[in-house]
Amino acid sequence: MKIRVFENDSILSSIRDKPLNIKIISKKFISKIQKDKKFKVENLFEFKRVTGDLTLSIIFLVLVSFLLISFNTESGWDGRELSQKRVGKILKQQWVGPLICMVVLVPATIYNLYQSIIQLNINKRLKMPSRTKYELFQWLKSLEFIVYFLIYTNIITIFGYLISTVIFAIFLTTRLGYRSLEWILRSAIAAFIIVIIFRSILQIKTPVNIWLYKFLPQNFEVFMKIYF
Amino acid sequence: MDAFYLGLSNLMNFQVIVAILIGAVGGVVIGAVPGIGPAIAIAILLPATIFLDDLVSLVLLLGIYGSAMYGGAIPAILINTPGTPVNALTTYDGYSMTKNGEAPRALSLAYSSSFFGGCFSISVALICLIAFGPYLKDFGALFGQRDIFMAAALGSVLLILAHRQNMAIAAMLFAVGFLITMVGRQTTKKVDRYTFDIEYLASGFNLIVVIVGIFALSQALNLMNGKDSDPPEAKLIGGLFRGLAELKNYPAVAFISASFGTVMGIIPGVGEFVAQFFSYSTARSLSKTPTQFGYGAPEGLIACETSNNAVPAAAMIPLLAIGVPGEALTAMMMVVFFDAGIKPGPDIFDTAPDFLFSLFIALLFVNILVVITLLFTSRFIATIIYIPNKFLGAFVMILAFVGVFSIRNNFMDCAFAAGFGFLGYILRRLNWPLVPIVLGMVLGQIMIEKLTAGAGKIKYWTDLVNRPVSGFLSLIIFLVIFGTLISYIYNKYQKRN
Repeated sequence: MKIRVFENDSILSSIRDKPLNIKIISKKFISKIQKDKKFKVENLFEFKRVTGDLTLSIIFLVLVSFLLISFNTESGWDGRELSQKRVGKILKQQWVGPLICMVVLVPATIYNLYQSIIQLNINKRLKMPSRTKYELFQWLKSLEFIVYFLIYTNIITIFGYLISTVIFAIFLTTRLGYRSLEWILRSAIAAFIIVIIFRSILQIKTPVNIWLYKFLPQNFEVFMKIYF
Repeated sequence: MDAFYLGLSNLMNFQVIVAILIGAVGGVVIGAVPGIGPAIAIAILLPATIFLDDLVSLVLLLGIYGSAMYGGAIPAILINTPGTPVNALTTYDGYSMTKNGEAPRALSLAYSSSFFGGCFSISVALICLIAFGPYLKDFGALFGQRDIFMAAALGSVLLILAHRQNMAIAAMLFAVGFLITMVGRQTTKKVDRYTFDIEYLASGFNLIVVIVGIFALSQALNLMNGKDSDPPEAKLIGGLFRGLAELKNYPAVAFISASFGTVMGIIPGVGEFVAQFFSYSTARSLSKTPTQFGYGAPEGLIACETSNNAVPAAAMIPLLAIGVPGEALTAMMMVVFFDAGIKPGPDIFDTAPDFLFSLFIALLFVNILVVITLLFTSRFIATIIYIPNKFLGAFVMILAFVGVFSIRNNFMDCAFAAGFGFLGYILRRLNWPLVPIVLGMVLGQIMIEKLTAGAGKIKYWTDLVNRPVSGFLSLIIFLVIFGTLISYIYNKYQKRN
């Protein structure tokens, strides 16, 4: 076998004549072991606190604190009648439900935050990158689609369920990167089928006072209102 | 037996037969597409069921529930991606079998195991109904308001404790769900709770709005913001019939797994994952070749699929028997009961026993239909799994609109659903569980209703637990909490030493 060594290296030159089964081809180490995508039985119950966990835990604590502060006025606690002889009369009062919620919610939120902080400390000790800003950006990024959804719900009263759904489906498809004619056609057909199933066949309620339908001939307007 | 025949005759209706067909086939397709599970499909279809007959609605939803896991096994076995979260463990041995060139064998084993699991739990339910039906009529008398309150409380405790590694989060989200149901004007005292003088909130949050937001819209956002997966190409060569009979070579594994699935399905808050865990562990310990597990052991695949599919029928039992849903899908079905004016609970054995038979027989038909469909269409269904995630997300969002708007024709519902969708999306990203919110809403509502209704008979605090059933249930609650505490302290002690 061929051995590539440096001439001046004393250690390697001492073993030059020995039959070694080594062939150093490149300095790069390449692993041919496949990535293990296998699911393990322990994974069924696995839970890992990931980036953003602490942020959400803090948001929850703030919200719960707000709910707790407003408990007196918003739960009916201010109108409580505790001096009842029968326990049943106390349990019937409007504040009992919210009180049960708070009894569970407040300690659970505090304990969750505590666990989240512990995880943060572990991550710091292991010098793991925080990536909180990236995670928050991902949360905010989803708001774009929520805005589209709200616009869609509002344009239905203008163009009607059929046209709005087809437009929205095509728009979303192109926005998501499927810009070929084939995908646009697929999305338009799928949107049309959804409208046929839900509106025409199942007669599910959608907005009825459609601005565009008012310009149609009367018979056609009625037809469109009933089926689309 | 009269109720059985009456239940069977209820199904001989064109609408019901179509619902069984759509539910069975639709459920398989929905299950087979990674990214859409039965929960999302049921959430979207819930509002549509308002316009349908109650039996038709329930059969449709039950069909989806009962067949989705069959479909979910297909991508799990062929491309190592579970169709529904429940099929995750199927990839362990199923995909290994595919890699060994045994994809048809793995699929047919999965179908036969699922069929056995489904039929096993349905048979248990039907036999119990036939054998104990006459006595169950008196069962209602045992269950008062306080007993059902305690059963719902037990369900809540079990739900929280079932989230072993994230109990604090489960408890928190359960309480959030519970609090959501408290929002609005209280009917008896006319007091506004947590409305903050917002007029829309006076009527409270609609359960469907929350469900569609939390399950469907959040998943739509998740799919659209994520990346399209690039699954490996999977070709299905060979017949599927040959492997069907192989199940008979593993009777013990099949029977034990089906039993675990049935028992875990009945216990509220436990469900498929725990059933799979126990079944898989038991199958491995019983096997002569335990080292094969994870590398294509047929027993492993049988254990997962049998226990999975035994759960749906079993999960209907606590819902129908005591009116307490044990997991998210049965909680969603509770909405249909609410709308139909049917009160699931002990009285149903007396008032509508045929209705119970109809549901279980329909589920049996669904299982038969699904296996027949899958044997002939698996190759076609295997192509559906390649629909891009983002494209799917767009259509889940479009469908979510129909789901929300059709309830009350209210645009505010859509806005709030979008809000819940955003919350659900964040929770999904952080691996926080969504189910406690929905179960918090349903179980919380039951608890408060029953507590208020039974308050007239409560003079002292002890009256809450002095009935045989409520006393027994409260003892179980105490033991379960105490046991968890002890095991927590013991584990801490072990770690320290």
